[in-house]
Amino acid sequence: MEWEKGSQNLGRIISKKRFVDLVEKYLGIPFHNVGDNYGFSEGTSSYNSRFFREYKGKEINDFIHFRSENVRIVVLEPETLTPIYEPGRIGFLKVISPFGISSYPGLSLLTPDLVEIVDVENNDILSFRVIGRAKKSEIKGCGVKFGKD
Amino acid sequence: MSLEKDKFDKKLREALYYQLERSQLYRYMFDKLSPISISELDNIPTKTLIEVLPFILTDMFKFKKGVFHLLTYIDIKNSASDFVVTLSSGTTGETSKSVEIRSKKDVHFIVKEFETALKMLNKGKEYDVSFIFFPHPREISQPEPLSRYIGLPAYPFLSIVIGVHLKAKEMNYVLKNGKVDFEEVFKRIARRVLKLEKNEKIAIGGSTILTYRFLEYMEEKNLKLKIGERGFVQVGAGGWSGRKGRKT
Repeated sequence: MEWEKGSQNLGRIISKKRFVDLVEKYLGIPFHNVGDNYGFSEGTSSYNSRFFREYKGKEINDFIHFRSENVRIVVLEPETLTPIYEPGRIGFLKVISPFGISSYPGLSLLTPDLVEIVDVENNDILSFRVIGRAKKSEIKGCGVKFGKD
Repeated sequence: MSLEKDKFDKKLREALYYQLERSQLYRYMFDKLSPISISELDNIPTKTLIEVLPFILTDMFKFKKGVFHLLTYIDIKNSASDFVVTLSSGTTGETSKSVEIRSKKDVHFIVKEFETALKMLNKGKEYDVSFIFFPHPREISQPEPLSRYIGLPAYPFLSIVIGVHLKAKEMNYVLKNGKVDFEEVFKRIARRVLKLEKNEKIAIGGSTILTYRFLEYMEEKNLKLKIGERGFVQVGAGGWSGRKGRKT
């Protein structure tokens, strides 16, 4: 397989569960030693994760990503763009990052990524699952709502 | 209040004032959209401030010739050597890349954040050995074609953080000139696993798609290793959709 300046096309979606099943079966590495790093190039932080078969008694077969101490996370309900905090709810990821932004306005960024809230402490979101990405039209819609606020 | 929280709260207000002073775009957005005024900033609880701060959509950083200057504070022509221009790889296969101009100090911060995050699985420690399905950083640290429109050399964001992905005492980049030979990689990993000392930790990963293809190769050939708790798999940079980078 070739890498062409970061461009690769497998032509099919990768199931996270199958990925980790293969790691366990063929590398003999346990699932809890598997991680997926999430980040976006407009931001300054990195959100590493650990794979969980179950989390707090619920089967998930997914990576749970943790925020660093240098950022805060707000999850916005996709229709109303109001902050939500209840574990299990899904919304757009907004990141507040006051460090590493001395040359561009990156303090408060909204990503097109949809995440599910996992751990929350006093309305402080500590971890999340990445569910997917909004379609381009939904992002545009978000911009329109944003403009009208 | 913990020291960490204290530090964050103080920095948040500093950064906000700094951004409001320097970014015409953000100042305009703040004045138009924020439910609080600048005079209230010092008295509002951090939790509320975080909620109500107007945001910039990450999509706005996608390169557009006319508005590019609105997304930096810096007169780059006069201080080019202090800054690095980074470009996204375009995870969704879109042709337009996002562009950020970063000071070298900020780049150092970002690299540290990545490094800390990527050592999480190994309890914050560096690995002893790693096999990485990314090219060597120097192979992708050439300025991109978009540089001529920006007027400064622009590099893939990945080339800045790739050096700390699976950082280890012994790092093995398995892509050579953009290609990977899975049979050879398997043999190298198998040989190294046999020589692992009792306390040594080995990490395998990098590109999600290439790591997955390697696992499928092992499945096709029924090749099995028993690395156990001393092994880690760490992927990143997206790719779960099966596509990464420009449309092919």
